[in-house]
Amino acid sequence: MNKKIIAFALVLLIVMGGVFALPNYTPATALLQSTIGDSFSHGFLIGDSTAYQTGVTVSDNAFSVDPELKYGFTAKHSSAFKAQLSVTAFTKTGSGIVNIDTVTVGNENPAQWTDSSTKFDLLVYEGTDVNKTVKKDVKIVITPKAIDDNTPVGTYTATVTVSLVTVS
Amino acid sequence: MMNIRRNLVILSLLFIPLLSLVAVEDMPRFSPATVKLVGMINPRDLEIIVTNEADVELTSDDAVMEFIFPSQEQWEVSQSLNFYYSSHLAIEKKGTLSFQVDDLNLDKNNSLRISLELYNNNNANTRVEPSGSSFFVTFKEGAQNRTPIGTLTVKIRKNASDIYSAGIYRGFFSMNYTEMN
Repeated sequence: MNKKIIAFALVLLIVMGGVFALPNYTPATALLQSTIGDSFSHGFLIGDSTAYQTGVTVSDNAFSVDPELKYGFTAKHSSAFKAQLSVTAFTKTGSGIVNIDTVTVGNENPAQWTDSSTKFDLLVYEGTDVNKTVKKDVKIVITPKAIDDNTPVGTYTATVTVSLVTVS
Repeated sequence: MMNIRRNLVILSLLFIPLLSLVAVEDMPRFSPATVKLVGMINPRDLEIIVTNEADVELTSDDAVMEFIFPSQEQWEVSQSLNFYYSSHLAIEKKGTLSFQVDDLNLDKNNSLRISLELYNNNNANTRVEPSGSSFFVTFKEGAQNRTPIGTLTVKIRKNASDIYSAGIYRGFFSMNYTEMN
C-alpha cells in the first residue's frame, strides 16, 4: 500500500476516535434538605376541656372558692424553655383591690405573691426533651387574700398570664 | 489604639453569645396564654339589730318588754332599747325607722299612757325626726357591723292622782322601716 494512504488512514482513525470517546465530566449531584419545624401549643385546660384555651374568663367566684386551674403545653422544640406564671391582683372598676396571697403549683408548697411581677415556674421543657414531642400539664391554685370588711362591694377581675422563657 | 478597639470588638462579640447562654429571655414567637378570674363581693342588705339594756339581742320571738310597777302613789319606770345595723352596701341608703306604741291596757277602764324618747347618741348618721317617734338614718356604704343608730326609751309614768287596778297590762310596740329613694 501507498505510505501516504496508510498515514492518512491513521490520522482519520485518531480523529474519529476522539469523536466517539466518552467525556470525563464530574457527576452532577443535588443536596435535598428539609427541616422538621418546631411545634408548640399551650393554654389552660378549663373544666373537662382537653383543648388548650387562652383569653377565656373563669366566671366562678374566686372569693368563695380558690380558683383551681390547669395549664399545659404540647411542644417539640429545638431548645429548652420553661413556662412561668404571673397574676395580677383582683381589681374593680373605680376603686377596690384584693391582692393575691399565694400561688400553689402542683404539689409544691404555696408560694407567696408579692405583686403582679412575681413569677412562678410552672413547667420546664428540659434539655433532654429537645426535639422530642412532650406534653405536660400542672395544676395551679390561686388564693386571694382574705376579704377585708372595708373592701367595696362589686365584681373584681384578675388576669393570669403564662409566658415562655428560654433556659440555658 | 486600633488594636485596643479590635480587642474590644472581639471581646464584645464573645460576650454576647455567653450572655445568651445564661440569660432567661422571652420567647416572642409564642404568645402568652391568659385567663381571667372573677371575684365577687356581694352586697349584704340592711339588718336592724335591737338589744335590751343588758345588751342582749332581741328577736321577734323574745322582744317582750316587761315592766314591774312599783307599789307607790307616784312612779316612773323606763326601759331602753338600742338600735344598730349591719350591712355591706354598694352605695349608701337613707331610711326612716319609725316607732309606734299603744297604751298598756288592763281593760277598757284601765290604760297606762306610754311615752317614747329617741336619742341619736351624738351619732352623725342619725337624726331624730321632729315628730319624736322616728329616726332618719343614713346607712353608710361598705361593711357595717353593728353600727349604732340610736336609743329608744319607753317610759311609763303614774301620777299620784292616777288610780289603776292591779293586774297585768299589755300593749304593743311596733317598728317600721321606710327606705328613701
